[in-house]
Amino acid sequence: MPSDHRRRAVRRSSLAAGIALGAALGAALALGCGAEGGGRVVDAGSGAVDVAVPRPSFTLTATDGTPFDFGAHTAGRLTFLEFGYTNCPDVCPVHMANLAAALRQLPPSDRMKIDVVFVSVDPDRDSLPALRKWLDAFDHTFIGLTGTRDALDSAQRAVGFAPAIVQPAAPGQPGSEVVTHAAPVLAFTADDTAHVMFPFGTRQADWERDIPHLLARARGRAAAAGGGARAGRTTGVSFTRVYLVAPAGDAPAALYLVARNDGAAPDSITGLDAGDLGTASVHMSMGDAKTGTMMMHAVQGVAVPAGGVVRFAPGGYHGVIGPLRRRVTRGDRIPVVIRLARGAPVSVTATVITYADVDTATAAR
Amino acid sequence: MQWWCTATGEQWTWAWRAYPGVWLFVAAVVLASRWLVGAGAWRVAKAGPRAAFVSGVILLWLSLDWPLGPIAAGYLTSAHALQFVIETMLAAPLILVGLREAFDARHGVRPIPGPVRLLLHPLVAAILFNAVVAATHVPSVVDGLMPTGGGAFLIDASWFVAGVAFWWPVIMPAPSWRHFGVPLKILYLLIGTLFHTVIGMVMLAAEHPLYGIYELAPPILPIPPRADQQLAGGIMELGVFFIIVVGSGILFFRWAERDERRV
Repeated sequence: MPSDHRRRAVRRSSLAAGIALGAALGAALALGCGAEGGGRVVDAGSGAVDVAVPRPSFTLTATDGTPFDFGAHTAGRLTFLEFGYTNCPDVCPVHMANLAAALRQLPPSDRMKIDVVFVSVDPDRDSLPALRKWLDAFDHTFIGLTGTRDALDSAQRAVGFAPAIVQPAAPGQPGSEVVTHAAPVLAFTADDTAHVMFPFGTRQADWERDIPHLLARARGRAAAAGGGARAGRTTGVSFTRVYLVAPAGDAPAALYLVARNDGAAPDSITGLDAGDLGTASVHMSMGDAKTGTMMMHAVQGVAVPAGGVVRFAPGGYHGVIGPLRRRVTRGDRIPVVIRLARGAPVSVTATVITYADVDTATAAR
Repeated sequence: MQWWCTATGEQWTWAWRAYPGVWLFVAAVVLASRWLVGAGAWRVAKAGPRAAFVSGVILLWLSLDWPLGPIAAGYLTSAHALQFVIETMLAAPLILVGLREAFDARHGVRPIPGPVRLLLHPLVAAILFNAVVAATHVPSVVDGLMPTGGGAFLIDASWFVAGVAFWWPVIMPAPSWRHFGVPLKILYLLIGTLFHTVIGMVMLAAEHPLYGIYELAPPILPIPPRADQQLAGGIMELGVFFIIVVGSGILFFRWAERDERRV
């Protein structure tokens, strides 16, 4: 850790950051502090600060304009959460750049187990497209959220941070507001608790050293829960016949599968991750009565009722991955993670097929 | 007001800032040069050496002052590398080229005092230069010194002084060393800067940014710190190599020209 410069940088990150840190540390002490069993969830020499912050539930607006329930969408996943703003001159871009660089070093199978959520606390200047564009400069999979000031204040309080302070622009300098905000990045692990937060000054090497520890914790939890279910939650969704249709050219690829819920509680599919293959999302094909054509719409969740079966098939629900960043060919096996609202994310392997195989592969049996 | 460019961690702005320490340092270099060759010698200097001296002083000033100075001190590794190359490989030899004839005219074959003579021995100068290059590129040294005025000055001044010491045996007429002719001088330049290649390669190959001050600095360009570091490695590798090749070429052709005249 470098020292004076770093210490000064942390000091510079403002009073509110200090308040937030104090509040989080207070919460940590009140809750009996970070890691279970007296050990740290990260390397003993890590500069991360031990805390114990439960994964909060708040709903803000994602950059695609849809509501995003942080608790539901990220439950059970290693999630890095930062509050900041795109005009931030130092803390936010440095955190995002270093985190993105560290994540790029991970194998795709690990990378797809991680969410990075950046919440803009400057909604007046950070429009959704502006936020998306800013995040894309670091990593297109980073999730951007924002909302009303009240909603943002609540979200920050939910993790023990003091709400950001937006200081008015100097006279004659519209748009030059300074936002004082909490600097640390919270790391929520599979047990839905942030045991550590990373202060400003965390370097790429620090991230790369600590992320495997945080992932190992996620794996330990998943294994303890029987390979998929999150501790304390009942879920029994499993997936079979997962196929990815090799597209012609650079077009997105369709993902088909069968989801079966053998549990006692309903669940829903909330998202897909295909790692470095491309952006993945869930869509539904619907007929347009006016034009007589099929239209495709993104959906936020597909319910899988208790004891029920849902098929992703042509003409209905399906996954969309792409544009693909690499060519896939028939027989390839592609790792995909399916996110659930209640249960932990489920890793599956999609077999690549061609259009000629679709009818056979997706036929109801 | 800061007296020397340091790593402040503040957001970069293009508003001009004064660094009086830089002006004093450059003035001190000019005064030291004048003392070395005498005021009279300067007045009779030819246009070529005079232009070389002025160019060297201007390059030294530009490398240390705003904007390159503060950017190199606290924002971009590549600017830091560029500053290093300018100080040690351009400013130092150009200033010596500018002083060479005047120095010769004033001192002639007058013996140089023992300790100074020892310092300017090619082997000692090369070791000193490479020791300074090595020490001032250790990450903990850079991260520790650059945020303070004294530390940043120490790094910048040591680069220039070590650069002068390194180029002195090649450019200056005295002290003269037996057998240290042009072929050995070229070899000296090539071997004496091999360490730059090692540092440049480390910068190019490192998986992480080496220097915390640049990794955690407010972004000034839309390039990640590691790419900036790789650019710095390229500047160290290619910049120094190019200058050494040009310098060796000049030495060789002048030598060949003299040889031809003798024949």
